[in-house]
Amino acid sequence: MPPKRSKVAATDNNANNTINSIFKTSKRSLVAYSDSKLNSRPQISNQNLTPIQIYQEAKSLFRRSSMLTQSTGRNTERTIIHDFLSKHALVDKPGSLYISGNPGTGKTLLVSEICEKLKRDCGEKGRKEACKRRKMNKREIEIITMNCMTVGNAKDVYDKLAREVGGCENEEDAVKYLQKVFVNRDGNVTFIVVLDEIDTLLTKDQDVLYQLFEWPTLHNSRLTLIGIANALNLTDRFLPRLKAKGCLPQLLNFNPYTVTEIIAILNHRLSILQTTVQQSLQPLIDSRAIELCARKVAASNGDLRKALDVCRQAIELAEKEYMKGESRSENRADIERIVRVNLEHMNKVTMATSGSSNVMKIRQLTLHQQLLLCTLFIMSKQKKGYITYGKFQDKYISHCRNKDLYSPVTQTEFHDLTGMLETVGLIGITYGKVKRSRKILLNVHESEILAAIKDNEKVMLWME
Amino acid sequence: MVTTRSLRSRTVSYSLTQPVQRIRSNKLNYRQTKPYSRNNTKKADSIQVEVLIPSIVHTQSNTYQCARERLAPSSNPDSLPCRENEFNMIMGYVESAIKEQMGCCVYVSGVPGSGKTVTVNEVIRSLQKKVANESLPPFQYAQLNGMKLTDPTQAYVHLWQAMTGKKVTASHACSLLEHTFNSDKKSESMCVLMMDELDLLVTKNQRVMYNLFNWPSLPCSRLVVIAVANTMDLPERILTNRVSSRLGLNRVNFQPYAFQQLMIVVQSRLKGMGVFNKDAVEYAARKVSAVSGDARRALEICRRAVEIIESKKTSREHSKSNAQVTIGIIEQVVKEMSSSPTIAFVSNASIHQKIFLWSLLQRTRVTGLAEVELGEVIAQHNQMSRLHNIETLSVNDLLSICSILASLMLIETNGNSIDIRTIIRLNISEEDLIMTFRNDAFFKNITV
Repeated sequence: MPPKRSKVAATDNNANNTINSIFKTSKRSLVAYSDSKLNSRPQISNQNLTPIQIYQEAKSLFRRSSMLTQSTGRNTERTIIHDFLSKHALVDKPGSLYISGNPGTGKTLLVSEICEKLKRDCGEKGRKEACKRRKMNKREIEIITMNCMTVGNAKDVYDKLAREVGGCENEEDAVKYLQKVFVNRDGNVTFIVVLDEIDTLLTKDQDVLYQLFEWPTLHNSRLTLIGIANALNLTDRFLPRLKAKGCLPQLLNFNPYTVTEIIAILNHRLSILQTTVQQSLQPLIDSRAIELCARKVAASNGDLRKALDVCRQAIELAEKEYMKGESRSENRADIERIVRVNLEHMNKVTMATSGSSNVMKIRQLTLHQQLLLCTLFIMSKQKKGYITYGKFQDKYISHCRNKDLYSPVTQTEFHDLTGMLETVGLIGITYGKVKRSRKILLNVHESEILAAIKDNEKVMLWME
Repeated sequence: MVTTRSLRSRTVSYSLTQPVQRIRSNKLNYRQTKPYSRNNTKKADSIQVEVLIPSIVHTQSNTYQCARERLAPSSNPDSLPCRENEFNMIMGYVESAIKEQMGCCVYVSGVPGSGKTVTVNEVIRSLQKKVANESLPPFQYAQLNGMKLTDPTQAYVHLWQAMTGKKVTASHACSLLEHTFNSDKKSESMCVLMMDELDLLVTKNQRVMYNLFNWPSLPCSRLVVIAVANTMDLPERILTNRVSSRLGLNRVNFQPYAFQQLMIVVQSRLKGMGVFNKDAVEYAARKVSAVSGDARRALEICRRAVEIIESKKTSREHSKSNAQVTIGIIEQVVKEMSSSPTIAFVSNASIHQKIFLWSLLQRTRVTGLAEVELGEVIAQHNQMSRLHNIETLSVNDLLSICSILASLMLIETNGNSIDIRTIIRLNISEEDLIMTFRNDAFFKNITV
């Protein structure tokens, strides 16, 4: 998440100015185009969509960047974050929250959604009660969202925060400035700072993270901190002193999505599609297909991004099938004949995306690459201990000469071939200054090699 | 009204900050990296050639020259045979993303010489054609090569420069890009970024890759990233979980060419020229496909073959009017290209150098260890010399021979100084050495 301010900053810094000027220039040339072309995209009001348009709509809906007004699921986490915010930021009591979870479990999405909502609520109230608030000396809330991945050095996070908070001119004393802003008895602004991927701020002595988590615990603090990262035990492992100081943040873990949750989310997106196109139609994706997709993804790592990608590719597959049938029959586009995504499509996609097996990889190698792999296989069977590059090469050449079936490749080609095998990931070569003394490891199981070359007579003959 | 300016998608070319060239699969063949541009001089050449062929009757030498130019790996082919599937897949991903005005990531992998870069360039070119026909919204295009970046963070600078034409520092560019992709500007045009040699952008905390793959997945971003690398499962092997999760599943893998495909590739470039014997092309294709399946190498072999036949022709004047490349010539080229310099060196080395290597080989055979003390080798050397009635050398001379061989990397020593206690080992293949000795006049009768 970028540095975002809830209030429009009056003191725009340089960066914003340049960006604005760019948009101004680019807008002029594009407006004309977008009028003529972009608006021809199907709108929600349009009820008579052609199948191709439906596919298009579905595909863009299942794109992970597609924005939804309200995400489904994660209700317990939502209430926890809500409670946290209402307990701390809204009643002006500082606090910190650490959110952990696997990639693709909706951490950032949920937090930004809640922040947006908070912002909107404050905005509406703000307009009504602006005068009232000033009289009652109530405090304003400012939300700063930031992705720490865009911060070059861990300490630069201070500069960036300082710029967000109020535009500190002198970057030298950003820490002091922040301290003054965040820990201020008379301040009338409460800050909510959301730091995404907070684990990139880890340094040798962790002083940045200690400082950040310490601010909310100080007396008169105005800071509510929300840190997001993947590691479950970041605070225990890297920040043991927090516990000693008694400023341990509240912890919240996002579990990977379960099958039912994934199904619910996918169905939710489908129902949006239903309202966009004709309601009478059956859903575009078969319910069993959705279940298969959900089960596969939940079994691997519960990454919702993966589930969306799989669905999208399945829709693409169905679209291709439809196009094929369309060109053959040459009838007018008929919405009833739309090819729905069925179990078969989904199975194809999940098979393809689960990565090709080693057996397939070996079958696709060129002849000499297979021979090299077999040599390594023979060597690893014969000998205990490690195999060096030099020995490997000698064995390959002597085996070639002994069998007299294929002439061995030359040294340069040999280097190329081993490099390729390493690229594919079938063998591993340790790093060493001298090439001939590097160690070579076989990264596939012996049974996989045998299974792959079983039907290949040329190689089998050579192996014997 | 659509202004012409808005339709022209911007192509940005960079001058190398450091002229780095990566040696690709072929040792004779340096990768000629050049940013794609429509007014490419090479391309212009090949177009010109095409126009010329049917109209003017060629002299033979002209045809050879023309064939050579077309076989150059750097020349942009007019068509991409045998890569239609991959082309369609990449095209589908990028085109739908541009149509929907949403970001996406595509990961393209394949071994060197399988046509990844050329296919992506072709996709971009046909997309730009569609933009010119007004069947697609305009987009900006930027090409980065990991090899050309002095530092991974320079990727931000180049991307920002491609989008706006302004040059800023890396960290500033990063925050500007972050801001741009997060702000909801519907009017902003799409930006397609192609990153070649992605594996070189991997840093310790993978920050650059995280950002480049995170931006397309933001709700309001208009960035399409096409990442190209050699390793098929790079995301799973090297990248952390959060980066590979953002990279997604839009993946296209290029298999190495099979020999039929290599034949088609070569023949499509030589269409209308009777320079090659058909068997010769097949032989070259089979030779290459058995080893690497690298199209660059197949083209290189064919090009060298044309060169040979050309030089033959000029030396023999007009002896043959219609000389063709035959299997024999291809065979000659393959030998020439794959022969390693070390073998050539050993077979032309001085007698004492050869004896030294032989002695080293002998010692390793006797002891069964790869590493031998230099003193033992010297003793063996002198014994061998006396046996065959060759003048023995002083220890100093032998040390200098050892240092020469070490500097040529034929043998390997530990430590910088060389004395009798130095431990040395052979750095070339034993089998190669034995083969060379077998063909040597002096060592022929000595059993190794």
